[in-house]
Amino acid sequence: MRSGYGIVLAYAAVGIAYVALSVAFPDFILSWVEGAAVLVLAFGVGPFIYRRLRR
Amino acid sequence: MSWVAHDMEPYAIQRHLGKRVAIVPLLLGSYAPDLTTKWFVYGISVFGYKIKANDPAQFHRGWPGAGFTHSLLFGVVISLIILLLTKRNIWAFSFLLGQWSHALTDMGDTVGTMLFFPWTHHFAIGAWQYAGQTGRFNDAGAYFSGPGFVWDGIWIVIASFGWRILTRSYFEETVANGDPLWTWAMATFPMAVVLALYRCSFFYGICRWTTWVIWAHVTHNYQFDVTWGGPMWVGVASGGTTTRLGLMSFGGGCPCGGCCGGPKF
Repeated sequence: MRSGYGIVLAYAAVGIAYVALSVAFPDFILSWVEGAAVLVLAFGVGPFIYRRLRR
Repeated sequence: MSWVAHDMEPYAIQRHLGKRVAIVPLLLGSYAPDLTTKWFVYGISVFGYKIKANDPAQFHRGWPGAGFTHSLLFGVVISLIILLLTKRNIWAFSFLLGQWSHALTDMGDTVGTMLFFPWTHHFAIGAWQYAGQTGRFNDAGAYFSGPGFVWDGIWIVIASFGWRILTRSYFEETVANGDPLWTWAMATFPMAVVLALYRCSFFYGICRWTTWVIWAHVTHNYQFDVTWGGPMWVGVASGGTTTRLGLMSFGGGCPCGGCCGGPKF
């Protein structure tokens, strides 16, 4: 289980990446759906793939 | 119109009312007035054809138009439908709160909302300039250059003071406890994904506030004007009138004050 600070840092890191992408490509990014997709990728799909690859 | 306030208000309400509200209908209510109308306000291109309202402000907030979505009555009607379909008072009540918060918040701009539709009088505080007619980017540039930028910042601060509602323990004890939607989600997806979805609007709100501020003032040159009713360059660029329903005169020329040589203050 990650600590509270770890979770905050993880969200902050994902947020910085999302903001950077959004500033660079505001036409394509920056809608609620993409925000949700980024979070699901970062905290669901990403860790799942990482665990599978480590097996 | 408001931007990030609609993401943050539901979390502030959630913090205040706890188990008396449900976050999903609260968020849906908060987004509902713009959910089906915003694309037509800003316009989209389909196979080279531009589809956009002739008079975006009239369409967005007026009657005839879709302005009734920003009325208190619209919230009541949709809440009653939710109640009839789901038999869940808490979902209907939460949607109502969310939708009413949106309608009240959007009174802050210069166009205002027909709060008591079918009475078509617009209630407008006029704190910041309505700029939806200028398209998504110039609207963002205007909003995040005027008092709206401050308003949204205040909501981020208010919601952030309630950071505990974003914790797993609060979610499990207060938000998900007894809510069939979250019970289903927890049984279907990993907990990290469920929590990410719960926190999504909060995350999205902070990210888009940050993004648009950087976009408007670092990568572009929109001028700050946080005076009451600002930014005034929206009105100047549109022929000297502020953007109020029936007073717009967006003729030719670039309507923005920041990207391509509009007025600078």
